[in-house]
Amino acid sequence: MEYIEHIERYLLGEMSQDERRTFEALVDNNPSLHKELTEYEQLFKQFEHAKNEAFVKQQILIAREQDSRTTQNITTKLQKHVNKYWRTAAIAASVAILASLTTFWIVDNAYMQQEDERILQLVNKEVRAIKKKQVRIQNDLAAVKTNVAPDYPSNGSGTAFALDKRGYAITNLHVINGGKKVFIFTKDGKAHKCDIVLKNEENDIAVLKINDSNFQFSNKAVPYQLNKDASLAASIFTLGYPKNEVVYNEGYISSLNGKDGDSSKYQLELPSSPGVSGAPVLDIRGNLIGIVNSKESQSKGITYAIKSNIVQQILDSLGDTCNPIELKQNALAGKNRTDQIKALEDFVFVVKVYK
Amino acid sequence: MNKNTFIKDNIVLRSLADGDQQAFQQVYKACYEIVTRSIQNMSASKNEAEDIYHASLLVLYEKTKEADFILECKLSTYVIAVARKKWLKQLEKEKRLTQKEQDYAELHSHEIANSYFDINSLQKQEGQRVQLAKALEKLGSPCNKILMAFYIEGKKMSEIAQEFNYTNDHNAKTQKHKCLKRLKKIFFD
Repeated sequence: MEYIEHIERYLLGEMSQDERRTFEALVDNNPSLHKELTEYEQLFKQFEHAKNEAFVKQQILIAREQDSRTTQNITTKLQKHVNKYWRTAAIAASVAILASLTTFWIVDNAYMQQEDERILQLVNKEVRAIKKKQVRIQNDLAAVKTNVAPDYPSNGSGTAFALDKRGYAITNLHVINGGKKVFIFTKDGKAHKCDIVLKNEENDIAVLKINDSNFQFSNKAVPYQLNKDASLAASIFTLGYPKNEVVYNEGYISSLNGKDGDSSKYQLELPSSPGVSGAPVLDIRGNLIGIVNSKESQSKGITYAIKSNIVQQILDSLGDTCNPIELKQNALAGKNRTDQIKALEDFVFVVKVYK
Repeated sequence: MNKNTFIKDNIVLRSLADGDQQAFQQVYKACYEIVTRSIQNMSASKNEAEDIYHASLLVLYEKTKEADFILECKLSTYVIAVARKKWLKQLEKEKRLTQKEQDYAELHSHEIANSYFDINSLQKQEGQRVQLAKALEKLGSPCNKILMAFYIEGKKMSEIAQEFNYTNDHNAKTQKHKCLKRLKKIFFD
């Protein structure tokens, strides 16, 4: 027996109360009919959605037109026009459920306009799209150009590390003082041109910003936070670029002050070589305690590091431009060293300067 | 906001539920600026923000049709909450979601509005919408046109019979039922 007519009348609410009751009893005793009913119910729900969508789209169309043409006269004319074409627009709407919201506008604008106006509009749309695309291509091209490092040898290189994920990095001022163009090379080997945001001669610190507003070091936040009171003899490690490859080193704090009692620096027992200047010094939990700065020429293992409270001062002086909040969370504590290093690698870079 | 605002909003929304054109236009104008701006603040372009706004109005419209729907916050607050959720979902889908937008959304989220609807069921519905579209396409003409005319455009059987050249309403209806059965089969296979 075919029940489709009953099912439809039931779902469209066309049955009387008695009919409903009889039909429901029938459905309860007939599992295959029950299944069929639920399927049709789902389908009808989708029809309902499509109907609602057609209504909303028609209304949006009216709202937009009203917005762009304020004259009462034109508006009323348009209302009539819309009413007249509402059926067509609705068809367009139901056809457009095949496509996305944006494509929809192309479809039903087309139905709403006279033929030539329609073509003109489509052409305009195309032109706009092409213009947009062109701007994008130009921007990309500019980005590519600015992000190509010169092919002549650099005038010095060192290490920098991220202050936030959006392109701010810190290094030693002496690393970048030898040239005009500064490039950061991320782990993937890509060059990124930098602006120098801040130079602090007193503490030998420079803050760099990658010259591309869409750039991110990583989609994760910077994984270290500042530790401003490290203890004597605390174990520390660094990650730096004495060559074109990242090098790991570890040591300990051998004195809480630098050379000649310089309270802005720690003295570390840590092997270092040129190029690690600017490298982050981290404690075992992965908190940042300083920046590798210089080494004692007489004694092989002695390295000096700028203390993190100086870094804090620098961050404070930057104000809102760089978001120092990111240096307030630690994602490294409790991890073993190799995992810490893996997490850090995205945030430590080679810096090179060119004349 | 005082309670009167909500009462007025709720009255407008009751008319909207009945498909009242004036009510829709009123809502559209009242929320346009504040909602699109709020989405643009979450790194959307103007066009993207408008698309999200329009999609959110559809959510609102369907919500108003639910029997127990009562607005307990400002209308614009509600629409913003819907729009933000939709936009975050889109960003996530396009792999553009960053901490900044998440933080922003969290900071500005409105708990009452948030508890109103479930973004996942919306996504599911979106999926079914595509499914219906595909099924209709597969069904082909004139079957899909007959079904759309009746169930989506709300035409009467007599109009449909005339439009599709059936000798009488009954024949058109039989044909429609055949089409519906085929559509169901495609939709659920």
